[in-house]
Amino acid sequence: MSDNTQPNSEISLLQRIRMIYEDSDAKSQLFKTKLHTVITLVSLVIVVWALFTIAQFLVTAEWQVISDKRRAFMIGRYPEEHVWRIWPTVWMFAGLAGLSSALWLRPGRRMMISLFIAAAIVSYLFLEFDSNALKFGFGLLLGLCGYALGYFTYTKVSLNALVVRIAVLGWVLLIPVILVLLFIGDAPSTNYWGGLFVNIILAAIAIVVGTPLAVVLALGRTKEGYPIIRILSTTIIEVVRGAPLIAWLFMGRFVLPFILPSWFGLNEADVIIRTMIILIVFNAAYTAEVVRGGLQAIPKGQYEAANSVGFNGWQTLRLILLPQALRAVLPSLINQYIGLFKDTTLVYLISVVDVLEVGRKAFNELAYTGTALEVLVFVGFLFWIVTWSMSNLSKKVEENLGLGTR
Amino acid sequence: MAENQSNKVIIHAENVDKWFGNFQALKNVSADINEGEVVVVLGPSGSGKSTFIRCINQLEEHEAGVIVVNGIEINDDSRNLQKIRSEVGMVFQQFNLFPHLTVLDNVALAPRKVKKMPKQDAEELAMAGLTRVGIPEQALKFPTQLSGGQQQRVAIARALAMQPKIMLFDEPTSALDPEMIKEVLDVMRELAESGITMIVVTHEMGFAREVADRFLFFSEGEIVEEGTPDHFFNNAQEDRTKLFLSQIL
Ligand SMILES: Nc1ncnc2c1ncn2[C@@H]1O[C@H](COP(=O)(O)OP(=O)(O)OP(=O)(O)O)[C@@H](O)[C@H]1O
Ligand SMILES: [Mg+2]
Repeated sequence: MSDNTQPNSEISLLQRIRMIYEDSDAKSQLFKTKLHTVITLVSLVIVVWALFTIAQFLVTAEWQVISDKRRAFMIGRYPEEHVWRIWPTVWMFAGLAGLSSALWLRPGRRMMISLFIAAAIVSYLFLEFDSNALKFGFGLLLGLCGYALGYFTYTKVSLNALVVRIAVLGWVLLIPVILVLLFIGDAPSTNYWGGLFVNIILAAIAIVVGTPLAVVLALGRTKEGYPIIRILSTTIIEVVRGAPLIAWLFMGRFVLPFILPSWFGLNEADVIIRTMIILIVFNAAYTAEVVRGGLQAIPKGQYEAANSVGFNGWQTLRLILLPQALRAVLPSLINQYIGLFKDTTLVYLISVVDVLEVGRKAFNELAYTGTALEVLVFVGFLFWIVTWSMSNLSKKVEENLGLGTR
Repeated sequence: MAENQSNKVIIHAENVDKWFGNFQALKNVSADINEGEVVVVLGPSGSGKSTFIRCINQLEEHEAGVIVVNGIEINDDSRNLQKIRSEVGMVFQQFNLFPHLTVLDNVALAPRKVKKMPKQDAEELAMAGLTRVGIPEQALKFPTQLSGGQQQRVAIARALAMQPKIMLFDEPTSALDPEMIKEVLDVMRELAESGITMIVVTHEMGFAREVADRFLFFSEGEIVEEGTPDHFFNNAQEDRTKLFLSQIL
């Protein structure tokens, strides 16, 4: 496995940097002419200054607000006695993520060990805080178990098929399980939803429901011989893309109740539900154009070959066209999803208290005046973790699909 | 290949017209092809050869005339279309393999999904097919990892996996480097001997002469001459045929 060719970790960081410097062209390039020397020195000064400033900030910053409000950052003011509704989905997600990364992202022992160490460190840090930390640690443990399960069944063909089936089923059930847990029994009203939890659930639902819808819209827009379908799809896409998201969110808040049909009390639905509808449609319209690009890139010969071996229209779409189209546009899809995830912060405008709004409320409190930077850095960091994971995931998936090579 | 022929007509085309906008690609084309017959279609570029064979499995819809394939008449009923397509295999100039599937899946997918064959049976069938075309060892590779000749042989195996009664070939070697043409022609020669009905558009005259029972010569959307290879090489009647043969030989 190529993992083992990594540089030996016994070499210190400084030594390694020196080795890279000696090996590379840098030695000859950095001081090639007087101009090179000047640029190198000026850059060096800027980098040192930046690093120093950042370090200074990190050391002198007032992190107390983050620690005090950590619960609100995650789940807003969701009542304590109902938090049990959230943990199972966190655990389910952790287990599935672990399992799937072992099943589909080239399992390696090295990865498992580093996961284990990370889990241990994080659990230890959180253990000092409160019992929620225990539950968090439990999630990490489940992720690890999932990974181990996937890793050890990877080579056992018969077992592997079963585990793959479980993993797929788990992912399919994840969102329904979340929703059921959040709504069964005397669940708190969605007005209590808040924090990063809201951003994640809004984005997840917009992606999971919006993407199939996007495929339908994209197909509708490319469908030849059915002008009504084509005009309808094109209109939906263009109208939705024509106005800014904020406008649609306001529509959802103030206008949607009057135009939604009254089935299942849809017209009296909470703001969050209406926001979900808006985000689903918004995401679908944008994603549809991405998918359409992928569909158009498929050569005519693929349709002909599929027809000639006897596939009907639905089989051709499902087995031949969509797999190729979605593969081809995977980077743009992830791009779209990352943008959507960050756009969920706009919901503060319709008085949903998302993670950014929790932060804003926090540094406006008298006790925490002057901590705006700390709060914003922290919130930015949370967003970065999620988006970075998404882009890393897509990179891995691309590698596994052999994108660009096949 | 006359020993393989029966007198049963398996493809019947009668007065077929095909238009692309204002351009008439097929003019009143009629032909009867017997079960087990190997027919080579000749003609200059743009004469309607591809259009003709693509009408047989309805990759192109004809505007007028009758086409009956294995007793099933082509009409607007999509179930008929599905039935006909499962009787007719097609091999394209550009291979048109499914790039996201392994070679094995390329071959096994249609039997599995169209004929609802269990996965294992379909894969065994696919391996048998790949062995027949001489590349069982490539089964787990992806199409782009294969040479052109190998890809075309996979395409032949893919079409055969549906166990069709008729195979259509549209210039199967025209996109290949010269050194790969032979390996594909060898597979086709073996097929021709096996007794399957074949319609082949090709410019490989040596191969055509060897395997064909009959030539159809197209010009400007019409069949202007037909007959045995011997007839064409020794006794061609039409000026257009003679001109074409003199250019190609
Ligand atoms: N989809 C299409 N739209 C418009 N015209 C077409 C289309 N397909 C074919 N044609 C025209 O129909 C005529 C016959 O085409 P066809 O592909 O059948 O020729 P061919 O005999 O196979 O030629 P070649 O040897 O170049 O493959 C040509 O003039 C071509 O330009
Ligand atoms: Mg042609």
